[in-house]
Amino acid sequence: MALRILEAEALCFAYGKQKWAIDHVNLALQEGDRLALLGANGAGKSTFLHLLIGLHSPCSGTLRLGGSPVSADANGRRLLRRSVGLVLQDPDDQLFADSVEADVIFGPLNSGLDRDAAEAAGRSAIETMRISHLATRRISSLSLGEKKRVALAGVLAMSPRVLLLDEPTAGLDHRGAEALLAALEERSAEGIAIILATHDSDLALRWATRAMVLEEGRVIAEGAPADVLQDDSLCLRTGIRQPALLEVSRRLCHRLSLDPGSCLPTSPAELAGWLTTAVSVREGAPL
Amino acid sequence: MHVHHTLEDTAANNAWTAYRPADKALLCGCLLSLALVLPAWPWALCVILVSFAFACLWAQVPYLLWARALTPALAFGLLGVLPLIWMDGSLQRAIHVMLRSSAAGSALVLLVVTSPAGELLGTAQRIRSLRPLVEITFLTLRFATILRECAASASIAFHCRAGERRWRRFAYSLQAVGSLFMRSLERARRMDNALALRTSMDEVSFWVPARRSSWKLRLTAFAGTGSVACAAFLLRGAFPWR
Repeated sequence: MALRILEAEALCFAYGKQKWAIDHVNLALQEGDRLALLGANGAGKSTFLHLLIGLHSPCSGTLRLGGSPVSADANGRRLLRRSVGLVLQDPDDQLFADSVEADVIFGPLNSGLDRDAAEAAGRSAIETMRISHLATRRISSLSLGEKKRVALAGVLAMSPRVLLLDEPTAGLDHRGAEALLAALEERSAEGIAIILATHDSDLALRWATRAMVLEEGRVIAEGAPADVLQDDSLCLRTGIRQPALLEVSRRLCHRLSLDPGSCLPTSPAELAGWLTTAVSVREGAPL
Repeated sequence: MHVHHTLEDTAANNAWTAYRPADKALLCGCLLSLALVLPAWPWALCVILVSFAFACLWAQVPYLLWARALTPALAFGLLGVLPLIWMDGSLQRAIHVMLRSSAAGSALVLLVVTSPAGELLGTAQRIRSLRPLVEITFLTLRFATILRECAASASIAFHCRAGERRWRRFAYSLQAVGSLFMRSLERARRMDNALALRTSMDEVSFWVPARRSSWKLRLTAFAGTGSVACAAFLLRGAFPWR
């Protein structure tokens, strides 16, 4: 059984005396997990991420890091932030230094590493994110996509075991989003667990190995992305758009009089493969 | 907004960028002390000209940018001099003060246009007693940059909606100032969160790239200051209207 890196047990949080923003949420993350956190605006996705990194203290519930409970004091927060990294939605909130190189090294330097070790960690993260060509550039001269990659490099330089990303592809063009996702896939293969909060159901279907849907702070569905997102009523209720691939496959199944559950593709290639098989089996059936 | 970016971009890309900020600070410090210690006429003017030559000819900073960077210092000096003329009635003294403050300003501008702010702060942080001040300056600078960007985008949005009527533009501008205040609180909170996520030490440290030491700058600082001071001593009394 893979090691559980981060666990949340019945986590609750409220802003002031308002109702629960996060209501008894459980989570168990293992090495290499790729979890998509879905939900409408205000469902509690960002708040949940902030709880997982100690920006908010839970009203009740427990957070465990590598099996040990994390205290809600400064030591607990420090411990949490050495293992968990958060990439904020707006990279301008996260980037502090003048140049890319200085910014990526900023995190390791301020987490207690000496200058040489911090430089090594920063340069390795820059290599990993393939932004060496940007290293000497000024932050103010970067595009949004480049800033997002630099922000991610800055977090990776701190060697997190869990990576939290708040709407990482928002505002990115196709190429920028693809580059970012490719980088995340590589990090996941290295064993880093990733939670990605997003509205983009196509992205969740394609990229994640698990999906969790939040509504008013409660988990209302969890499982394989295709299983979760094929549920019409859930999508209608939460305002999540059904992924285009699932929509197409559902219509094809209807046309071919097949069970909609028989085809839950996560990529166009999978859909094409399924379609070829289905057509060859039902020779002569009109499409 | 544009001026700032150009200033910072120039500071990061000029002929002196490769030199250590400490060497540049030494040279500018020497110029500053000349401006403050020597008689204002003609030595303050001399300091201004030398600063201009170093910035625009040696460091290859665009001269218009140098002049624009010096403008706030001149405006500040002028504001201070006006009451002096009004109350004292001494035009000569006012001109001396103005010359001296402009010379001091030009020495500081030389440092600002040739060194990125981050590198200057990182270097200043090596002086232990300056650390808290450096930290506050760093955060203030970063926050000011974000606010300026917010103000620029808000200004564009308000102008697009305000039409051509001036009074309406004015009203929208006032509204923009109000919204900027609210935005700044929100941005400050988010920045604070981001800083907390990336630092686990009690104080913030800055990374400064390794720069090479310049014997030319140090020699110029010591020999230049020394020779100007000697010249000022030898030529004392040679200039009327001191």
